Amino acid sequence: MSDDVLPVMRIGDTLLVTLQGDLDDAAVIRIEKRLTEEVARTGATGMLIDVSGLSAVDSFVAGVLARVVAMIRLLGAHAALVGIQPPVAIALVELGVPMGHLDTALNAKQGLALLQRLRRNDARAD
Amino acid sequence: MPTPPAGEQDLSRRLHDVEAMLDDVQAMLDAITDYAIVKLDLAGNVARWSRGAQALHGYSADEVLGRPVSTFYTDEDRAAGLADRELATARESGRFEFEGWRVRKDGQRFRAGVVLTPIRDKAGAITSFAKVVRDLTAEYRQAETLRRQRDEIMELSTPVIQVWDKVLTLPVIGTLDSTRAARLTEGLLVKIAETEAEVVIFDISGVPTVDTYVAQHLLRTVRAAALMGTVSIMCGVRPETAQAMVRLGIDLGQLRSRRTLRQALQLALTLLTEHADAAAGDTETIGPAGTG
Repeated sequence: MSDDVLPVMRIGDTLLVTLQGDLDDAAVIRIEKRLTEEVARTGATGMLIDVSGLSAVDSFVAGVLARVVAMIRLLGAHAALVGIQPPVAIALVELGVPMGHLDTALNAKQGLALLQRLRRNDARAD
Repeated sequence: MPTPPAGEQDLSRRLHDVEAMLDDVQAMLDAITDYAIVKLDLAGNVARWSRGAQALHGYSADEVLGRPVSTFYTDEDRAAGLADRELATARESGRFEFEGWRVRKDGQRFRAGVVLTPIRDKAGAITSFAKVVRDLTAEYRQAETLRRQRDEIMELSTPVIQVWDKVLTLPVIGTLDSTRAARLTEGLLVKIAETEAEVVIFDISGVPTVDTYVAQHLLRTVRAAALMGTVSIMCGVRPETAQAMVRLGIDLGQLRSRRTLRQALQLALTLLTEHADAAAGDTETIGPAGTG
């Protein structure tokens, strides 16, 4: 996966990134670099990571996703995973991959609503 | 010492014996009414027709002798050249077996179990084919009915009901074995994707006993649903179930529970309203007035 096939779309304050194909170590480093830079550059307060195009979501990929989410959070933005398909959800739970701390939504639309709720909770806390 | 009359006598007796044997074989063939027994020539045309064949296919011997075996096939099988493939397979592997639809003289379809084997001469060369056909329609229908009923029972036993816009209810009834449990999870997740549900209510009042397996499975389902962005609410937990779950050390995490389905639905609607409010807040921040 190279930079030009890592589409990042901007919707208001939110970035929507679509991950596709297989993730290898080199791809992971490129993704981490690109996404953190995009958040910093745009000042986005939220990011949706669409995983429906990934060929497999196993414990390795789940770990990668958790790391990306942690990086985005360190930059002061919220991140949520969208597009987890039924078989992937079942596999992740069967494998016992801990995903409970990650925010997830069915699709981009619900993801946007979820990010909005998270921002709102921030506002209340402030 | 043999004399001509004696030889003639011998010959006529042997002829008589052979005739008796042929009659016997014919009588035996005629007595077989549950199977159609047909002889085909090398080209696949009907060369001999039994009474059972007449009963099954509806044609008399006069009507079919010399006609191609594909006469009894469906249009699709005829178009697909099944007759030639059958003969070729029987020739090459010594046997062709098939179950499928065939057509009677009156146009009615029946489920046929077919076995086709080559007939060889003493030198081992194939001279013709023997075809035995059995009517499997009744068995087929019975198996169909059974299959359908099993599917229906499965469907009924793990229903997912959309009770409200974006709210699903899963009344879990009876004991959960691994097949049902897997089906329950899968059915629910597919329905979540389909309806874009944001809340799922698990009503477990119909589960007689919640053991470790059932509890773990329910929690796995809750986690999988959460990965698809759905909040789960449990209801109908009985006192003994509550005791058992805590004693089993099952971590419920953030799973919310309400006593009745009605209360669970109220909570679901409250959650949906909160979600909707957040989405509405979204438009406010974009709007010119702005909020801070």
